[in-house]
Amino acid sequence: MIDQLLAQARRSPSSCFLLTHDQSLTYAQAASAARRLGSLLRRRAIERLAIHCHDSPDLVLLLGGCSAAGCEPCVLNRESSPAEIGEMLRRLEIRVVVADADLLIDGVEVLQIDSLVAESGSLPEAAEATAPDARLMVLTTGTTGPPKAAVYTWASLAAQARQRPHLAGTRWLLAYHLNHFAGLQMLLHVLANAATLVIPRSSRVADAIGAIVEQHVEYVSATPTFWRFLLAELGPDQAAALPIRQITLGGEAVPQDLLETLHRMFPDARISQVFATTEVGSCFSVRDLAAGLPASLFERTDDTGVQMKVVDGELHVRSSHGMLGYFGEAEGGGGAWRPTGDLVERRGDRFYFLGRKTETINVGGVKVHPPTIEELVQQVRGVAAVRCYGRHNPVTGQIVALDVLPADATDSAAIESRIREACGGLPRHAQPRLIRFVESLETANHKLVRRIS
Amino acid sequence: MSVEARVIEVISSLLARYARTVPVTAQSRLYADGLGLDSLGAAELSTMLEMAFGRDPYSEGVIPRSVEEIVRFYETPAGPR
Repeated sequence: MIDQLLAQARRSPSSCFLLTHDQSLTYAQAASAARRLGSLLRRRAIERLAIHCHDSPDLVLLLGGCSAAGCEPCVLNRESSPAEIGEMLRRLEIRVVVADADLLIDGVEVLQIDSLVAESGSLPEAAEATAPDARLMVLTTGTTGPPKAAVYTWASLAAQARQRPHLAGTRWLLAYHLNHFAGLQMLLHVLANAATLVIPRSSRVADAIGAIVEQHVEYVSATPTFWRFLLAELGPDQAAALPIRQITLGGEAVPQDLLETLHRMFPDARISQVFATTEVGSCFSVRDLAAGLPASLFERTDDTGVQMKVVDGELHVRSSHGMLGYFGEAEGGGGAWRPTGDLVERRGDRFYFLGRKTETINVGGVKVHPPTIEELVQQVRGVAAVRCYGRHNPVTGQIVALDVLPADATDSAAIESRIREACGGLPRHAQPRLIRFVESLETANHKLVRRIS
Repeated sequence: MSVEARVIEVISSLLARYARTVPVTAQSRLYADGLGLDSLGAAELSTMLEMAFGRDPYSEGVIPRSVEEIVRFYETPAGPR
């Protein structure tokens, strides 16, 4: 990462790299600050560290400093409790954590990010060449157990970012947290293209909208759930007035109706769908405005180094730029086949995403995929957003349940009967047996949470 | 409203969802020999009862055969289990 930062700082020193509501850093300023942080980490002989901070320019600089010093960072979920952090650090054998608030963890040295940045200000920039095989750890979301740490080299992450000259100086929204693969990928994408990363005040959709408007952000990569909430929050007229030129959707299956809605609302925007996993990284990107992916992607032999296959209905991928392995496990290298947890089905010349394996609902032995139901219910008049999940049931094991965010709460009885009518054509086991109206939908990282309850 | 009236209301609204207008009484039997609920219907009923009363017979190992057995379940205080 530091190599790219230095290269861009030489090429376009005064271009803006990081932008928030009250801060802006050029490539030259960021490169200099990152190198000084690198000097500090070296001086303190810190080889591995965890970071428990909100997304901020300082966090990005610290990652640059780690890359310069050959110190292996792991950005933690900022929502984790001290107990969870303690447990995670024990597993990852990390003894230093950098925080942006008071934090007390047994046996762990806690450093404050602002004092580190201040202290490094008086140091010389790390002069010598960077550590070529510097590593970092990226945590999985851990929906089915404690998060695992995927070990990457910065070089393999950087190799996934495509360079396109016309993107220099463009503004990209950070709509994913930096503790996630997608957030780091966004950072490296911006870096590779000498673009600007706009960091919103918080991950709330309202703050993201604020950043898009105030900082005139034209490029937004986010989950389908984020886009739905954005559309629900703004309404069609205000949404269409946003300055967006490129929409990238990823992190969840992309429903056809959302693609069409976004295309209608932003007719001039380029819309692409990307697929990536924490373990393998960026796999493919499609721009044909259709849900799913063309079967031809499975036969390609291009230079992306990514291959895909379907085993028992589950998508498996491998990539030459993937992780080295999970921390604590043997390093299989980038070339190993990895299951993605995504179930797909071939219809004609496309593969469609059915949903996550762990979110599949089992109703009396019959499998139901939540996204299929959500897509249907989303079309019902009066439904702003919907979450489909399995609910434990003493008779059938699970039933299909819906949480519905209504456009108008006073209309819920009518919306419910329209939903039941719309679902009347589904196989009986797939029909929702519990419909609840809610004021907000549970999301994690702007993805719907569909775990069985 | 009496427990019996509430139970009958829950069952009637379940049947109404599927456009079934069968008269429901305390004596009504729930399954094929009466109101015609199958396992999916029973699953939905158990959830509706849980929503309405905070607990439901199926989850506590009681498989009611008639409306009055459900009523009896709710009229019997929930003891320590």
